Amino acid sequence: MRSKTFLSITGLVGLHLILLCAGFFAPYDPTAQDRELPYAPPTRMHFEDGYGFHFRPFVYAWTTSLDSDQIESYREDRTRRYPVHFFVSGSSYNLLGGYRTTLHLFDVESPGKILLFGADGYGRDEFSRVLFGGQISVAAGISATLIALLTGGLFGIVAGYFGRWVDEVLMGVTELFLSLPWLYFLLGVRAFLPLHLSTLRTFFLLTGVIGLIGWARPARLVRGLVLSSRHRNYVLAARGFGGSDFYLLRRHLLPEVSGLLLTQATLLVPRYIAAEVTLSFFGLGVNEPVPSWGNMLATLQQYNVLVSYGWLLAPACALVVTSVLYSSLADMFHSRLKSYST
Amino acid sequence: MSYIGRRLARAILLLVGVSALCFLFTEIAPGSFFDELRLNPQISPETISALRSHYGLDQPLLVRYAHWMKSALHADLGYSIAYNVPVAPLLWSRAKNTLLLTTTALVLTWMISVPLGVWTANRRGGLLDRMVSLTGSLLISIPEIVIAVALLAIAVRWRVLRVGGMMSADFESFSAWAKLQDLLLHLALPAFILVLSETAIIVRHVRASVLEVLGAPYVQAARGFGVSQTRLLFRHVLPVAANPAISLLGFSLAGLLSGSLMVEVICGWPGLGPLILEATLSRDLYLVIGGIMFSALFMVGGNLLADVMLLALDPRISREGTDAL
Amino acid sequence: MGSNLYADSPNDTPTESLLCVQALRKQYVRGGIWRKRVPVAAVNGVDFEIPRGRTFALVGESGSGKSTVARCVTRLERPDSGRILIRGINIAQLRSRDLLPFRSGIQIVFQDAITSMNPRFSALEIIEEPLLIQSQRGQVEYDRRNRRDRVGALMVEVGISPDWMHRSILHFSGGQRQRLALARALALRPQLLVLDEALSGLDLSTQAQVANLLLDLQAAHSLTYLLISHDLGLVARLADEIGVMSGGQTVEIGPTQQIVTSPNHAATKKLLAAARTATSAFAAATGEQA
Repeated sequence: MRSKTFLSITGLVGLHLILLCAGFFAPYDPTAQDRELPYAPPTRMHFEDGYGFHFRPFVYAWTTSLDSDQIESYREDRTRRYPVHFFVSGSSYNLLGGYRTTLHLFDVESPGKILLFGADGYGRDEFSRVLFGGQISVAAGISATLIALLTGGLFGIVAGYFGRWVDEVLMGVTELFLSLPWLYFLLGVRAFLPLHLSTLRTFFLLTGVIGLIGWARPARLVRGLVLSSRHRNYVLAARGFGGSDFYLLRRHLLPEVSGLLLTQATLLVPRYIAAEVTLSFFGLGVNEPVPSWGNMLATLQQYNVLVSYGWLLAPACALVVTSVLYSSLADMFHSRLKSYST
Repeated sequence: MSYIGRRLARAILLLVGVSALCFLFTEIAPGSFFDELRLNPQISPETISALRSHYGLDQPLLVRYAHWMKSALHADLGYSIAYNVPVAPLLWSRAKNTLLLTTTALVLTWMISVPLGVWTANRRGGLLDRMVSLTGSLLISIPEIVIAVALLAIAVRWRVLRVGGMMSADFESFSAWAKLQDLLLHLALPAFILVLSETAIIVRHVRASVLEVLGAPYVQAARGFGVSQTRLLFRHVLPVAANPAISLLGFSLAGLLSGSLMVEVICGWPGLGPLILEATLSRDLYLVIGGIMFSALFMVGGNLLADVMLLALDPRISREGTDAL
Repeated sequence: MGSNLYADSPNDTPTESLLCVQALRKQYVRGGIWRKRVPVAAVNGVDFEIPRGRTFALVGESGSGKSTVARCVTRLERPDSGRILIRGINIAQLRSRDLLPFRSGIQIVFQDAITSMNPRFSALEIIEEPLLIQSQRGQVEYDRRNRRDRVGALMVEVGISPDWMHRSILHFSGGQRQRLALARALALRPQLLVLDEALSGLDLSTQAQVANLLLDLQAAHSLTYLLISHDLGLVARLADEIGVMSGGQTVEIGPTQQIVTSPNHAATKKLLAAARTATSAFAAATGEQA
């Protein structure tokens, strides 16, 4: 495998693993507030101090003080020094939704705090929130993609295989869905559904809505593929041997379709993650206190936050990394599929 | 029926379908605007039922739909529950701003993408081509919302452009020239964000279609006769490559409209975007439906325009009578 | 194996017709909901008969409806009207379930081997497919090893080394692929083989080789051939009887010798002229006698 694809696959797998085990990689609970440290900047890691170089990094505590312009700002308190420990026991969490444990990758002794990405307005650790928020956003993207592809694939196969009026009706419906700009459509559908639901319900609602709007394009593509494959001579030949409809679908059409769906998946997942982020950004998605990259970015709509607290753009960076990784995977699939079809 | 006639009929059918879909949704969906009100102990149930009958929401679905349809044909799209004004004028005033933003972005995008696409296809593998390709890949991978927020942060931090709304606070006191300047400066950021995202996509497609035509046998033949590269491009390649490019216009319109919604909300441009968002958050039924219809109208209108342009470019289409996918 | 509908019975006369087509008609309809429905008559009255063990050729220009006839005979399409008698039984309107026992008796080989075989499959998977399908539907008994052995035997018969059975068909040349297609067609031991322009896509020397192979196979398995072609010259060498099609109808039928030396219909004369031009050009180039 070429190095670029190897890198992107490793990157993607690594990303998903980290998000999956967010509790392990994050030192703090994402909803734990700290009123002492609102909008604290990212903690700086130090390896050297007056005594020389240390292998174990350490951090200083943040304190606030008035500076020359009489504005409160943060500065490091060199008197309070906290070394960083690895594989420590901290707050408890559910690993993979079942196993309860307290093991964290890294932490510092309390009352010290290690805020890799700084803190938000409530003093919550941005790094932990990015990880847990990522769980929601990426899971939403993947679930929506599955819904869209399964629905679209099914309708596409039905339309392409049975043809005639079934095809015309289904294609008419897809054209209807595709005649609207997706965000308008999304907002519209969201408008007709209850605004304030429990987090779990909201999550299912979001993924359902995004997926059910997004089925149209995959359906069209699958239908086109099935139509063109259906009349291929080798399908005809198999029918000549007595192959049943089911056999033809399974043996000849499904491998083609699944190749298409896989490529589509790599394209759609980042788009649907972005859709969730957009919805939550507007306040129509996952709500506080549950973090999602979207509602985390929403605080940036305030002018002073946008200007002064740049580290709160962390979820945007995480989103970019995720999108770029999926994108390079999509490129790889695309070129591979192109060279395969004769 | 003529080609355009068929396209028009299809467009109208589509609009009717969209409106039907909207109303269907309102029926299926659990909960309505009034559920939120009902939770408020200060509002009596009588007020709520009075409001409901006032907005005609206590009538069966088909009656409501027929009623709405009839009024819509008279350009009356109902009443906004939250703003308490008629929907249509409200939408129209905002729609003009969205139209300004979207059209500007569209024109700029194509003015940049087409030459860029043709150039990079012409000098394939050259430095410019590689740079454009790389930047394009990057821009496509980054979600539009990130681009918008990032550029907003930059603009705000370094005070590059005027941000927020369509005009400055003391707009009225400006001279005509200053007014134009002010408008343009406010337009610059949202338009720039849109152009950036769209150009990345369009350049790719233009480049691909030009490349495809350049590789065609009749172009190679022309080259064999000694036709100059410029003449080749303008007389032989572009007219053919224009066809898929114009088809792309209709398709890219969807992305542009969605993008403009996002950008308007983020940059505070007073278009349809923030209005629809407001309507969604306040469950303003007829405003939401009106907004969706407007966006569908833009889409359908844009596609029709593209069809007309295609027909003007290549009259064979009307004779073939094929409805391409 | 299941009952063989084509088993010899002592009462059979050796030249009884295997295939008998009467008044075959098929039209296609273009257009859907949005466009006007335009019927296009592809086959508009076709009649011919093929006795057992003989080769019958259906010739005509492109668009004369020959391929449609091929598809109707092999029931890849359902004709609108007419009869298709296989050993006296009319299969024209049978439902797919009732058709199943007849499927093994008639097989078709297409013009373009590469499109008639799924490029993702290996030679083995392609040739064994009919065996697989028929055993899945309970018509024959073949397990994996039997299938492999049979495929090997078939490959030998068409002149391809069985060591290559695991290769993808993309690795074979055009002529070799056509041989594989023949092997696949023979898998179910058919009585009638329909060759729809099966030699048209090949270069001349490969064409000759495959034509010889066809003759060998016919002798070895007492096969009956229905040849579809637009090339009268090619067909003249292989066929016992020729039927000329024009505009969806059979306009002239007769023994090869008769058709070639004294044609009646305008269409036949046209085809003959085309074939003669080709042959005379070749002769002129090589200096041979026409």
